[in-house]
Amino acid sequence: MGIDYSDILYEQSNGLDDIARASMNMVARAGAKINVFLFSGVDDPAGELVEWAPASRRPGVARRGAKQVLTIDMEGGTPVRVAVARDSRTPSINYAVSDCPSTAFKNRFVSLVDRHVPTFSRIILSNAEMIKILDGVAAKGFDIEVKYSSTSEQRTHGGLDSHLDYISIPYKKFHSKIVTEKEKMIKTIRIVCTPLGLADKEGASAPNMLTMTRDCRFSASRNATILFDDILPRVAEMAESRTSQLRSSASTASRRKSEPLIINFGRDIFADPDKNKDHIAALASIPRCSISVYHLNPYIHASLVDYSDCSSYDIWVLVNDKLAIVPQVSATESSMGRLVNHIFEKMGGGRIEKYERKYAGK
Amino acid sequence: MRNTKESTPENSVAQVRAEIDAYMFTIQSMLGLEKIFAETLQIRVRHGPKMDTSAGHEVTPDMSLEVTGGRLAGYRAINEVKSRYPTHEPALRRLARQLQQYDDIRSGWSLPDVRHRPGPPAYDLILTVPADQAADYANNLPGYLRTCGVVITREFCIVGFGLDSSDGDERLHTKKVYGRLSIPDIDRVLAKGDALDMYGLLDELAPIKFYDSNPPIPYTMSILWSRVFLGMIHGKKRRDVRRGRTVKISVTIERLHKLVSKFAPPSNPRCIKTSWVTAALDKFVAVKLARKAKEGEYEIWYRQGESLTLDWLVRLVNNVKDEPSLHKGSGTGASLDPYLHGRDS
Repeated sequence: MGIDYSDILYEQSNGLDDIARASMNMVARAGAKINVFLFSGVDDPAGELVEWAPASRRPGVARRGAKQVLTIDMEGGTPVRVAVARDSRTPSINYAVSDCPSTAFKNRFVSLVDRHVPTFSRIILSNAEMIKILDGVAAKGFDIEVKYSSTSEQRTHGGLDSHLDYISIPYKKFHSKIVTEKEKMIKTIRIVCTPLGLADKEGASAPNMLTMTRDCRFSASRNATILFDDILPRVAEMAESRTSQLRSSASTASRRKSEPLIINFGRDIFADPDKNKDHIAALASIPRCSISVYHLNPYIHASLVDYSDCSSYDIWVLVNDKLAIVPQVSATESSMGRLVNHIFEKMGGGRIEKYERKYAGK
Repeated sequence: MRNTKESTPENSVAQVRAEIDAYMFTIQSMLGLEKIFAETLQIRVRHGPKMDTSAGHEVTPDMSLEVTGGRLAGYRAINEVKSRYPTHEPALRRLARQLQQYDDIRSGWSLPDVRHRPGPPAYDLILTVPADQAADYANNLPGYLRTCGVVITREFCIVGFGLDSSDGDERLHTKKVYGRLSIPDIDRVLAKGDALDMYGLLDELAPIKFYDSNPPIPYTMSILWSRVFLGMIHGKKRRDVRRGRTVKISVTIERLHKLVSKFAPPSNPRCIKTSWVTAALDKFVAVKLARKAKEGEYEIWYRQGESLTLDWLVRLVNNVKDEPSLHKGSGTGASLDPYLHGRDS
């Protein structure tokens, strides 16, 4: 009788290490495709999902050690099972792993998480972070071939244009042609990672066939080693670091002088004041938010309210490459995360920085 | 001829935004001038200090600066910020009278006069005006003062103040256009012109939303709606707001005044008047977003505002209905009717 890898993943595993091992075995030995979704939020995601989901959509929950398994009914079809756990080194980040079809995973589980705003937040990676992850894989001694990419670029009059490309080019070429030359931002990328020099050798381990999206959804087939050993821990580390910056800034909201959070876009996206209206429109399109514009041209000064949890912010654009978010009265890390994600999605990615003041006075 | 432009809601929003701009300009210019002094000297700044003239009249200039240490310890200055150059005689006369009073301040400084000079206290008088009005002030005001017999006995200078975004970064630039200060170091800086990077001032600029002058009412309303009321919504009511329901918040003018005072300049924390809060609350009542429960107490009917809150509030105040929102037909449209018929929490 063959090994039931599903049973190992959902029933026997105890924590994230077990889930990773079971998933890698499942992919390598049972030919399964594994889906992973990283999101930030509360300590007990299953408890939260069960408490708030309507009865008809309420998932079943089983707990074993540091792992939770959610079972979402599929109206007659095979239920979607998802194992959720955390790494103690990145305690704000949830790893959700499932071997169900990607579409079911996205439509049933990811969308369930999305409905639980502000309890959970997606993590949107900036372009620089996506590149850093891919460069990191290459640096580990892998040949990377890009099979498919969905990219976006800044429109002349604000907003983003998306492009799909079915290609088959080495990552280095993709990087120089698409990312550097055309300044496109990666939304989704499908890659094949093969250990250097072993591409055609017999007995070499199978290539890692991976898909990753900037909103932290991943899938792997044939070999998931590089995903679990390298990519996911690094993404979680980046997300944890960002979450901690957001938390630090949000926690100062009630102070008279709160701590601004800076998004550095690394390029002059605010150089043309005529586009400020488009930037305001992009901000105003955040669901359940409203904005008051106090100054529009040449600089931007606005206040933003997130009705999801009654957080509020001042938004300032005073230099061409940076946007400042200043928490006001009340703010949560989850709401700030949503705001940053939205800005990354609408205006392209950037780097989150601490504000450095300039005038100290004597 | 009927001026249709003036009656459009867009114009009303633009007008309010221009008033808010002028209001914020004063805050920015005072902070800018303060920084120019603070970069060179150890200073104490007070916004809207209460001071007395030799005749015993109380006056409230926009700002006083006092050097607290170093070789220039004891130096003092008064700064007044003005917007457009008055074109009508009565307004010009009021300005001249105001400057005459500021020239005659005898008490109200926070520090003792350490210079021990005989005679009235020494200080300089600075008039800060928008950069695009600076030439009008410099060319006309000194002549007008002479004409009406107002003699400024101390060093008096006019400083133009404006925004410069020519290199992409917003800068507050300041340049003296008339007169001089009694301390050459600062006088030279102002004569040459100085530009302060606004981004570098952000953490000081962002918390200040009011100073000691009456703000436009829709501005106060938007600060209350987008800031202060939010801090009074907790627990179940937050969930109700998230779900698009209207929640009741009971407020007193006293409590709101205390909360709004957080947005005053640190050197003048009591500058915000209860009357500003009352005026905004009364306007919320007028547009049916609140009701007056009893004297000093109101009940706010809070809900998600439209995507552009300030524009929405201005339209309500101007009684302009059903303007399309910029985005999101989210059910929080311009009509308030669905929210005002027994939807209590």
